Amino acid sequence: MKFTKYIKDKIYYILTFNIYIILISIYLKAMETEIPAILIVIAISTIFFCAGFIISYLKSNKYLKDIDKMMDNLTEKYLITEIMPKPNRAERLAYYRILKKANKSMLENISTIKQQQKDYKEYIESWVHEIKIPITSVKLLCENNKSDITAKIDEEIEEVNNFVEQALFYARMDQVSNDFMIKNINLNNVIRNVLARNKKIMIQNNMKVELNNINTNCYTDEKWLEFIINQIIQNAIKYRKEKNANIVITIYENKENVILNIKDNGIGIKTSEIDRIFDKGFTGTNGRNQKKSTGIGLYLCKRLCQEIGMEIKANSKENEFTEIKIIIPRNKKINEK
Amino acid sequence: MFKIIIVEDDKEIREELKILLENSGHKVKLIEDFDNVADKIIKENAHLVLLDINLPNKSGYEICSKVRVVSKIPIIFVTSRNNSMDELKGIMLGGDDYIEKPYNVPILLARIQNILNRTYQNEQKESKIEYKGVILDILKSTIKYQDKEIELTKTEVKTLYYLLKNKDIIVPRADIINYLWDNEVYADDNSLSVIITRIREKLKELGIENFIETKRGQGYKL
Repeated sequence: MKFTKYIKDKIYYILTFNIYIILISIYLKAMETEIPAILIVIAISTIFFCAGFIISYLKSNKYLKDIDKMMDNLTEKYLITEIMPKPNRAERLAYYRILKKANKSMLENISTIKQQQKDYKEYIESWVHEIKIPITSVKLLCENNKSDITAKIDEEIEEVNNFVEQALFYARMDQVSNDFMIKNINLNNVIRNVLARNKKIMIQNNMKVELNNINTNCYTDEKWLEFIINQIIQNAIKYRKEKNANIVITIYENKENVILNIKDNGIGIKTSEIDRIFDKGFTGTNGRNQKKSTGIGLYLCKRLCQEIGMEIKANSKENEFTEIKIIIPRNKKINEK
Repeated sequence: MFKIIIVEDDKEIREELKILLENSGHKVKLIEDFDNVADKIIKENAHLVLLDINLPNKSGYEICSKVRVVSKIPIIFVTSRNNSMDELKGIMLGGDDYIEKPYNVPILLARIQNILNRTYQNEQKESKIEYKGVILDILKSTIKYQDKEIELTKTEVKTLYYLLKNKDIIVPRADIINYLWDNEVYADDNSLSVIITRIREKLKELGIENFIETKRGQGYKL
């Protein structure tokens, strides 16, 4: 609080004091007091007034500064009324009480909303859990009754399963930290799992996969990584070219990172769109042509990577290739964040 | 032949799983009444248990820890809950593996087989197959004819092995590719042609011709 502002606030005190000085001077003059004596009275009154004024300014200023400091140290600023000292001046107390009331009602609102959100998330989780049971039945039925039709049903149900999985991971995204387990995993296993999941559609479309140096270990969460790789492989399948589609998966290692590189020879991404592919809801030209795109897959990949301390990058040339890099730090501490 | 117990409360999944496992050469016992499941498992004297976690009376976890008191039978948890904590809990209670629903069937079968092999250590893999005087040695990764021997790559061994297993019938190209994918070779149609050509060249070096016949539009036949 600036002193000039304080003066402006207290302008009525100053005016009243001036009126008082004028009145007292007139009174003393009328009592035939001598001018020097009047001046002394005026000077003394002014000194006391100014001293009082300045002390009161300094005190107010310190009070506000202390609260400011508390505020800066707080992560959840709205909790300030819980920790600021209860003022003893009547005016401040009144403001303090108003603030407290406003805060209380806001906190109540927040906790209702949090509860609702939690309920909703739990519902989604249990819904996903329930729907996986019939999905499993259908998959087994297809497996036990192989025909051209069940092969198609199986493909579609796999698609359903992927969407269900996306919904689950989306619901959990904010609380990823509750649900990941960093351990030493073998990338070879994770990649082979993903390829096995997409085997049918890849064989049908006569795709080839080349693996280089993938027998590497790193520290991360296996389930999340598998989900991320699966999203990328599915994109590579979805946006392939009709002939000689292939995917090359290579792992590079350096001192700090293990880098998982997935490159396809598909239709690629326009240079003007590459920066936005990780944005939520962004489908781009390719997505619009394919209809099945939701703009959620890569967004989820990016968010999940951030949560578990990995990095994801894309590079592409239209009509030639798309290359996705997942950078997994070696340092366990970085990973655990 | 191994005996597998399935503890699963969804009837459809249970029945289909039974068919699936029987088709892949296992004996299956279903548990359909969920009282005292642990005792039933112990009494059954099977080789492996597929245990669902969400069950009507007791959870799979409880059953697992009860079984573990007296038996070391391998237990695979099968569940549609995919939560790290659940998985951790399953492993801590003595589960041997944890598979999420909906499972990918080849992956499920492979993991069952893995655990069975690991526990009972009788990998019944033939290491040598002979046909018309040609001997494929899988362990050494070679083929032998009369006194000559020549080395094969892993991919070539797998392809030839599949053809030998299905001798006398026409093997469709798609079946070979499918088999190769299940065995971690991710080939397309062209790569299969290349692999077959290479095998033929090697056979020729050994002095064998027309070992692998091409049936146009259908596949290959030995």
